[in-house]
Amino acid sequence: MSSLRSVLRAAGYAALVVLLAACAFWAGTLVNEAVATGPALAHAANGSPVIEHRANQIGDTTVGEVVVNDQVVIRMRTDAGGFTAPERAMIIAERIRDWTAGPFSPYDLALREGAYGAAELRAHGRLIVTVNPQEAEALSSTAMGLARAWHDNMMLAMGVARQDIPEVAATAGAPGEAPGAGAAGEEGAQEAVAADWPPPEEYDDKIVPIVSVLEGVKVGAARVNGPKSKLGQVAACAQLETKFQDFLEIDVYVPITTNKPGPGGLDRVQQVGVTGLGDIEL
Amino acid sequence: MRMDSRLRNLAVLVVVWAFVLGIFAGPQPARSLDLGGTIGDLVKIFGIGWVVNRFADDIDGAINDLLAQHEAEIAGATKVVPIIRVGEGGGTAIGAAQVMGPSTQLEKVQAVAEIELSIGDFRGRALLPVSTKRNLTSSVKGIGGVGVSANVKFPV
Repeated sequence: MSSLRSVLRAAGYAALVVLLAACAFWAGTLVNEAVATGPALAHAANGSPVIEHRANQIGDTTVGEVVVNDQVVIRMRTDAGGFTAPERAMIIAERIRDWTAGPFSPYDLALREGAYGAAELRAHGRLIVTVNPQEAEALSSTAMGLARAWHDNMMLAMGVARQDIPEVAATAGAPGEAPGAGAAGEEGAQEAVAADWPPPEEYDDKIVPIVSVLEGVKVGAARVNGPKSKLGQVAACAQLETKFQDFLEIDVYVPITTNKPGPGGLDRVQQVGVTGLGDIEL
Repeated sequence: MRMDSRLRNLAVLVVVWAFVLGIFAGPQPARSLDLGGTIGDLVKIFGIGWVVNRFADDIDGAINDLLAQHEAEIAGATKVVPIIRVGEGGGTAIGAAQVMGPSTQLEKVQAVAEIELSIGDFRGRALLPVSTKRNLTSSVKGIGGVGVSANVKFPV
């Protein structure tokens, strides 16, 4: 009798523990949903991506664009090897189609050093695109930096979450060294450039109007900072507005070459950033 | 008695383990977070600094996606850091900013210092990417080569 009672007690105790564990698990999943601390879901490729290519006009330049799943992943700005920029985009699109026609994963993409300072983006060892220094220079970047940007663009367009993109080895120079707007200081108190970073050329400040892309009107003024050669090209700062999770309001500033941003793409001046916001009689 | 104590410890262990398992094994959206407006609640509970730290990569990605839609991508490294007003609150974040620049310089940036600014007719606020979140004074130095590319406002 006594042993039966102890067995029943143990069973009840075990049931209580299981119930508490289930409740704890449920509470844990709620915490996970609230702050997303769990691991990201594994990427699963759903069929072949849609690969397109097209010519586009940005300012006075005709560019060739490679589009993956409706997202521009590569934009060719220079001619090379006897091909125009749109023709180069067509060739690249064809290579991506070949790669994705069979079993593939976005994680097949890899960067390699090329000849004469170029960088190569490859998939399964097959060449997708060669980034030459001239192409990178058109964007004020390095060949490896631009190749890495295109690598990331392709992975994002193929459904890989940004946080899941692996750090790719960049063995040719400093990757992604494209923009760099100096942080000029406040009148009398601030100093512009940290002593341990010798800028490639002299930096300067300039105050330009902020023009809302949505409304087309001046909504303020921005102090922009960058290399003198780039700063001369800046006519205004386009302001894009968006919201994050329907809560955070985000104003994005794009230094551009005109003070009337029209429909289509914005002609960004690379290497120039904002270091002050305010009002001014313009 | 000794057995009861062991069982109790085991039970506690199982419950804690289940809770942790729930946190790390529960369902999670693949591409982006859908918090349905809970960011506001998180700001109230944990503060702007925590939220900026927690969602920095997602905010950075959202901004870069917007730029890509307008064909105005930044051809280099970016990240999102808190904005800290100099001279107030001892390092309390008041917002966030996306900063851009050479990757070697960008790695040093911990925050953006906001300072009252006056240059000629220009009245506003200077936004200086800095390498620390603490003890910011009006003589703070900016990180060379890095600028602000977006301003994230918290409507609280």
